[in-house]
Amino acid sequence: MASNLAVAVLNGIVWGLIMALIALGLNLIFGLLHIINMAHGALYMLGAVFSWYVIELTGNYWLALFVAPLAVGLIGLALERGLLRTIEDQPLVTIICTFGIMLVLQQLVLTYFGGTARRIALPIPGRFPLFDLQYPLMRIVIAAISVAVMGGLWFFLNRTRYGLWVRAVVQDREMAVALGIPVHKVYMWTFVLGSVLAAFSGVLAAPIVSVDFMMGREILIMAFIIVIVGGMGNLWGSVVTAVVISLIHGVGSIFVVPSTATVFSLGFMILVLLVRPQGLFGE
Amino acid sequence: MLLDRWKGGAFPLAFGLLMAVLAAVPFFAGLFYQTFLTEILVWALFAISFDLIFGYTGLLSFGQALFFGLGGYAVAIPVLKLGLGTGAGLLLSVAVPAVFAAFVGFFSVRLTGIHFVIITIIFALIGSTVGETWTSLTGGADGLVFMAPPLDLGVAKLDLMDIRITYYLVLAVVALSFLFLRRMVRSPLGKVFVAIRENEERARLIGYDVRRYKLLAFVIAGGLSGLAGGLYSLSLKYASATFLHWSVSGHAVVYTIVGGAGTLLGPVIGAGLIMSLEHYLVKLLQATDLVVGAVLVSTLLLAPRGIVGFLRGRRK
Amino acid sequence: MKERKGKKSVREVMGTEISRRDFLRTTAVGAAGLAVGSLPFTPFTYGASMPIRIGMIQENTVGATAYGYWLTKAAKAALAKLNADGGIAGRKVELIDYDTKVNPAWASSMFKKLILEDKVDFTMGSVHSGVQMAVFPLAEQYKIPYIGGGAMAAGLTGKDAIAYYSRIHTHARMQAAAGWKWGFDNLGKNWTFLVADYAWGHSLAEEFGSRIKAAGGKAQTILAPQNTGDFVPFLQKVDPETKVLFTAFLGAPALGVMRQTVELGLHKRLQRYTVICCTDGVGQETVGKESAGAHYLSYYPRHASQVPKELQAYDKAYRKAVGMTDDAKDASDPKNTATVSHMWTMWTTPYMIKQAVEQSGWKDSKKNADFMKAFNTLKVKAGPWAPQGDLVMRENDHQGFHDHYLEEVQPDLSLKVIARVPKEKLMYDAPVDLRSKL
Repeated sequence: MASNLAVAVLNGIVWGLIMALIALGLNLIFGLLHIINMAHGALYMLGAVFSWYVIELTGNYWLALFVAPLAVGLIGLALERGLLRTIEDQPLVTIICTFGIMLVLQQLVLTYFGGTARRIALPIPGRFPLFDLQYPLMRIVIAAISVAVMGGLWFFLNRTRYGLWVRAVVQDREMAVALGIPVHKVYMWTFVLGSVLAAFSGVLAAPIVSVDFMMGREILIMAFIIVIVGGMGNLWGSVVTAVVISLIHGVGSIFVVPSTATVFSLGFMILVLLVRPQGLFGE
Repeated sequence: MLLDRWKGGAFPLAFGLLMAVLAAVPFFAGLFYQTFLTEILVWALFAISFDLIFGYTGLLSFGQALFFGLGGYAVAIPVLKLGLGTGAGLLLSVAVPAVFAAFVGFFSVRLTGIHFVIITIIFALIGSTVGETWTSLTGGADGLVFMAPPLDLGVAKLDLMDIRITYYLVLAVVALSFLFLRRMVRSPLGKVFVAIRENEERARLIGYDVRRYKLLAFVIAGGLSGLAGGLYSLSLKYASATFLHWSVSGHAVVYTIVGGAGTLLGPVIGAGLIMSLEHYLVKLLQATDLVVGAVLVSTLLLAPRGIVGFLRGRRK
Repeated sequence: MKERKGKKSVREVMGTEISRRDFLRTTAVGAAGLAVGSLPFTPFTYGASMPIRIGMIQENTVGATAYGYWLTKAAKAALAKLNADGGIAGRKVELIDYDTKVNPAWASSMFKKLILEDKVDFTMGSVHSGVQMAVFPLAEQYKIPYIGGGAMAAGLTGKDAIAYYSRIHTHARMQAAAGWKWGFDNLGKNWTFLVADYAWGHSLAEEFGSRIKAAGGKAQTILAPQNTGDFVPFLQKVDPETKVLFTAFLGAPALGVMRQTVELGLHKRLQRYTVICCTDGVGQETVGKESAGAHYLSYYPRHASQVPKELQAYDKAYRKAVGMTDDAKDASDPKNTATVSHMWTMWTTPYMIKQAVEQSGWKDSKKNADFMKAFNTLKVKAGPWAPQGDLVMRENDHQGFHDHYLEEVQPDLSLKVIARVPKEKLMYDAPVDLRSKL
């Protein structure tokens, strides 16, 4: 039992940190641009797919970790400038539009990457003993990388000029414009940043779950739930919620059948939405 | 201008003509086209029920698949396991989803915007999770196959194995539903829905119990989505938990947006157009969803009011 | 009625307005166009006989692409050979195929297209149980013979069976009958079934598990959602006394569970056993070098060298015809692995259709029932058309029986046949009697 619990807790934290990155990306995009990006799961998937291609060509996972998010960031740039800019102020329209974009991205990957799942070799093989089970070392590394990325995000938002602009625009858009902040550029770069974070998650998750064109679909809903329950616009809320939900699901799965755990956690989400729609940590 | 007259006194004539043409189809079109049109009609019904809550009341729900799928099972399970008749099944396909819609709606209408979207998706997710695991009842993702007994109308027995008869049945049901919805949206009730869509706060200040009206729209839409699902499973003689997945709601969204939200006619045109497009494309391109997604995005960016909205706008 | 005085200019029609007349005219033209397009195109050719059309549905996109690709390849190769040998009853054979998108409702539409629009004589294909269930009502209603491609739910020739469906290949119950004893005797008596939480997974756990328990062993079942990515929470529930871990997933999760079993170090203390369906069409190197030591129950040896001696000549010719190398790779793309255990059905089925046509004197749909009766009594002998060996159809449940194999993953990642289960050893009582229904 002890080993079960230990594995569940460790695993819950690892997944929580991976989901936190996705949720952070979604939250940034929503908190600032008020865009509900239904294509976010597809961006996560693209991160994984691009990393697969990089590894196919170079065999280097660390290179993929660097290149893939950048490539997806470019796609995010194109999406924001080309498609979303004109409808950014209409939330319902953007939901539907990004749903369409999700379909297109998924099908493009299906056409060129194919329908069969592919695997990425663990860049760091090896395990360490955890009671009478063994736990893969790579997952700890992934968790550490996720924390590092979050640290980078914090640094960006709190210690750089762009970060200052982002926070200013969130707080008071009119004032920011009056102060001469290039609001449109901030919007654009925030969307790019959100896309990059989603892609990062994809690259980190890829060695664990394998790469396939549908991998973003279930992740998407989970990400939304985390953002809303944690509080839209509240970045720390997302991180904490992601880890807590993962822990609950992981530990819960020890005791009940997974689909029951899923239904109960969904029910819990509904409760939070009804009782505290601004999220557990929202104001 | 036709589409304006559609609203006025010329509507009965135009509608009657359209019905005459559709009724004549089995006389000059083959069996395949009859089944294809049957399918289009079913999805058109699903789309117009979505239009009621989205186009007219302004509620974006991605969870209508829950009611569609429930409607399908409301026919399949009683017919297969309880030996009920097809007529009873169809009635249940309206009633059961409507009850669920009342439950889901009761909680959901307290929320707005993205929260409403998410909560409807969550309810649909719960539905599809339960549907996929409760295999003894639902057959899970593999689904249930059933033989539809003849529909007993008292004066006649309709053999639903006959494609032509199924086509007429679906045509009649969908046409009646369309007329019903049209009547509703043009009535004072419909105007309240639109008022809520335009400015919820103002509607509340005028004195309308906004939540109750939203719930009403939601329940009606749920019942009609269920009816569409019931007709669908009847025409396929098959129901599956995959009908409950929230992505199925996407069909209604796409057809409505492309055809034109808030017009009732729009979703019907959207359904016919997109499904025909897919039918012809499938020989060239396996990934038809690619084109559908592209059409959706293009519509939103270039003609956000959809085909019907665009045509009406152009006349100015 | 809105009056229009005089003819409209082109600009008026195409430009800013659309009058009701045009709207109605377009509708009428559209409807007429549909009607014309649907008229059967029957060239009157006196003397020349009409080709026989076989309609096929396969999973070409979405999750099961490898299956669709290889089953289609095998079907096309089979038809090419049939036509080169003179066709069926002197008539040319044509193939019309559509994608199911692994979507039962879509597949149903495509199946309807085949029957009503393309007017095919016979249908075959698909490896998905849900898809097959969805098209059963159509096959039954139109009395069109439908020969399955590779769906494994036991019920298709059991509780859900219909008169116009036949399955020449294995399924969950037959697999259990074929594979439980070898595993029990050689791998261990305490089993854990970690399977996908839906019909196929359940039936494998149930069929194997009940036989294990009846023989005095232990069977634990852990269900995981079909789209599970991270199996660690499930793998950690495996009973410490378990000696055999039996997994059943498809696609990405199949790779995931196999890899993560190794990542957790479980492969050091228990044996891994599964049906080849999980990774047919996936190169063993993709599963990973840690998969060495795992066992598969398969229905056709992956490597030509492992094929039984008496079948090797037929296997060689078959591999050449379908474009597959001795190591089950695509001759035109070594990265692509063949779904060896499944695709042979599409090679043998057209031949069996030919046999049944000739034996029943089938000329058109009026004799479909006679065709089915003939098909379901066929006894196919090992040969160029049956490289998998003898195959016997059973009339009661329209089920075919053939040999199975136990393959073990070697350190070099090849699959070695370590046991062969002849079809006589995997019989089970027919769960249904369809004979009176034809």
